[in-house]
Amino acid sequence: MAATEKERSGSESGRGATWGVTLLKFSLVAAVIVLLNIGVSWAIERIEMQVWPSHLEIVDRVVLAGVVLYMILMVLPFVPGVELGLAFMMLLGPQGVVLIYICTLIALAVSFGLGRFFPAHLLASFLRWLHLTRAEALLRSFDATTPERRLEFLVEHAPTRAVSTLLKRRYLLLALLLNLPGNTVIGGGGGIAMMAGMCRLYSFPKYLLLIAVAILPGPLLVVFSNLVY
Amino acid sequence: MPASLRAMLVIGSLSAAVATSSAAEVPSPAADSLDGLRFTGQAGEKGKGDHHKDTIMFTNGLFRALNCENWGFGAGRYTVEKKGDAYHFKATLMSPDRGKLEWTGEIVGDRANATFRWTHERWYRTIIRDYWFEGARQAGTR
Repeated sequence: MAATEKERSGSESGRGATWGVTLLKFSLVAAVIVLLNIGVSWAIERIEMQVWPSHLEIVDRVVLAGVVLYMILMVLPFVPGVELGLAFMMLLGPQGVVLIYICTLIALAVSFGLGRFFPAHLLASFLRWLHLTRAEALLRSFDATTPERRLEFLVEHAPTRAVSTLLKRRYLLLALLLNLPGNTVIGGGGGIAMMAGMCRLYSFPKYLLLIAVAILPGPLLVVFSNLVY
Repeated sequence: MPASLRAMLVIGSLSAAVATSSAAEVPSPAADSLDGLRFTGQAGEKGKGDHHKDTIMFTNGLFRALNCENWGFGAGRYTVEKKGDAYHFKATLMSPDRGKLEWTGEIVGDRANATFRWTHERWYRTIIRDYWFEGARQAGTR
């Protein structure tokens, strides 16, 4: 009896420590991003960079590099893609809206493709590194399930009835998740698209059509705000 | 008349003559033309400090910004309007591959203060940047 209690208390303290480590790692990643942001802004302020017509080639290259970087970041999971895209569109103005929209579409299609070919065991290892053992176990079982049984598997494992209903309307769910503010915590645009590809529950043409519509609110918001102001 | 007073009068007349002669060297521009004037000073981006030395000049009804010519902005026709002591001028300089520079400036006495806007259509956005120029009239011009 005493041993069982000791085991329980040991397991509880172990779980607490695991969550502590996970929180620490997430905080570390967030701190690096914030510090990079502050550092770059500070450097720009210090340089007091002036842009002149003689710098046109540099400006073009910087924008091109920015667009490529945006696409790479958008493909990657856990990057605030929606926020980044909005910031880029604000920066470039109405002309940039179409460009960023197309880039986002391509990036999310690439993410989806990567998800299709990305070995699930690598993602599971990453989840284990983050000490998200339940998510890792779920992913491993999900990966072991045949594509035809996967939706059924998810519905069975859904924590609530609402989630199970949403899973049955998976295209709507995907559209909602892509537009969810702060979706970075669940993988960001890239991560969500990668998971969509990985789960093999979505056909590529339908997925492409869906994201073409689902990512419209951001660009439309920028266009309308430009029309108003 | 004492010799010392005579000497003072002579010196006074000479100084007046010298002053008249320097004023004649830097005359006021005509109300409808700034031709012959040339100003040298500093230019920078709006809200920021000096960036480079530049020279602007008015010749044969055309306005030129010498540093801008290095980037392909050729001379452009200018307009001028006199308001009180100030001469307001406007000019647009075009470049074959870098858009246009729209200059608006004011000349008061020997000083020229101007702002200019660079506009250039690109595939990703229209570049719009604002700049300033502050210069002093070059001796011997006009």
